[in-house]
Amino acid sequence: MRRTLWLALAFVAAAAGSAHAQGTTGSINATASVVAALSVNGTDLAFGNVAPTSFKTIAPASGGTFTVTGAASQPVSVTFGLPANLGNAAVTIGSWTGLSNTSNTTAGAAALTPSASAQTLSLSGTGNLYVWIGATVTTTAAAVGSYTAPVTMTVVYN
Amino acid sequence: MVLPAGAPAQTTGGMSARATVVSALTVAGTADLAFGNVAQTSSKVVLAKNGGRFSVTGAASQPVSVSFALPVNLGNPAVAVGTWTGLWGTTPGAGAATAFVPAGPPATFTLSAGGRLFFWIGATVTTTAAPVGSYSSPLTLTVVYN
Repeated sequence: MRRTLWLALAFVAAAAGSAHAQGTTGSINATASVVAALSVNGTDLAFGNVAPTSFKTIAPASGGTFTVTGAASQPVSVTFGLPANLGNAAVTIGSWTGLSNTSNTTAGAAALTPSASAQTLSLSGTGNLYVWIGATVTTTAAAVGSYTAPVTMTVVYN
Repeated sequence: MVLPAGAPAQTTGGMSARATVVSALTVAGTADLAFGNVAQTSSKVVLAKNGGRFSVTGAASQPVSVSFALPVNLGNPAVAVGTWTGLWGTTPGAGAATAFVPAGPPATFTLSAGGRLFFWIGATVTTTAAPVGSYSSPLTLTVVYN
């Protein structure tokens, strides 16, 4: 009889503990869509020859290009890393301009202002995006020589 | 045994068993934690203020114990999720909410005078050569009165 009583008490205690552990729950889902990897390829923004003290502007349609491939019709966030000079303070670069299009032509392309601030563009139905970049180089008693600096465009899915 | 004359035959002590029944708690998930598109090998952060949301209702001004069940991936080890962040508040806007760590042990929060609590959950998804596709995993909030 005593054994039976102990078992009954143990059951009650376990049941009480279980009831205390229960709570009210609600759920949401964490979701993600994995899509084809993005790739970005570039060709140079070439100013050619410039005098030691001068300035020269290259329009985006004649400037550097970036070609982006990724998942069809997806929005992407685009940011630029733009140099202030071409490796020498006497050879500055600025007044950046840009164009973007989902086909590989500047005809009908939309203007954009390259900057470090994110801007949203969309890939084409075949997953392509084209960006053209122009700028102005200004030389101030620059030493004769060749100058270069990287221009980067970073693309991430939104 | 001989009791002194006039001594009581027995002594009693008293106590009370007390409980307060209050209105039931409800927890509603009001927005998924949506990472959107991610590349096959990449990392993407969604801030708590832009992430998943829960709304809790219950008895006014009562403390509750809150715990989260958080996934480690979205149904595929190649789509890992972690670095959980959280905000909580007693009003619906995340602007005035306070940071907390959802991955920690159960924590106590107090319902507003209107019996409300709100939680926002953010995290980082990291893909490692993940196959193209859609991935999902539940995360659960459990609330119990203290």
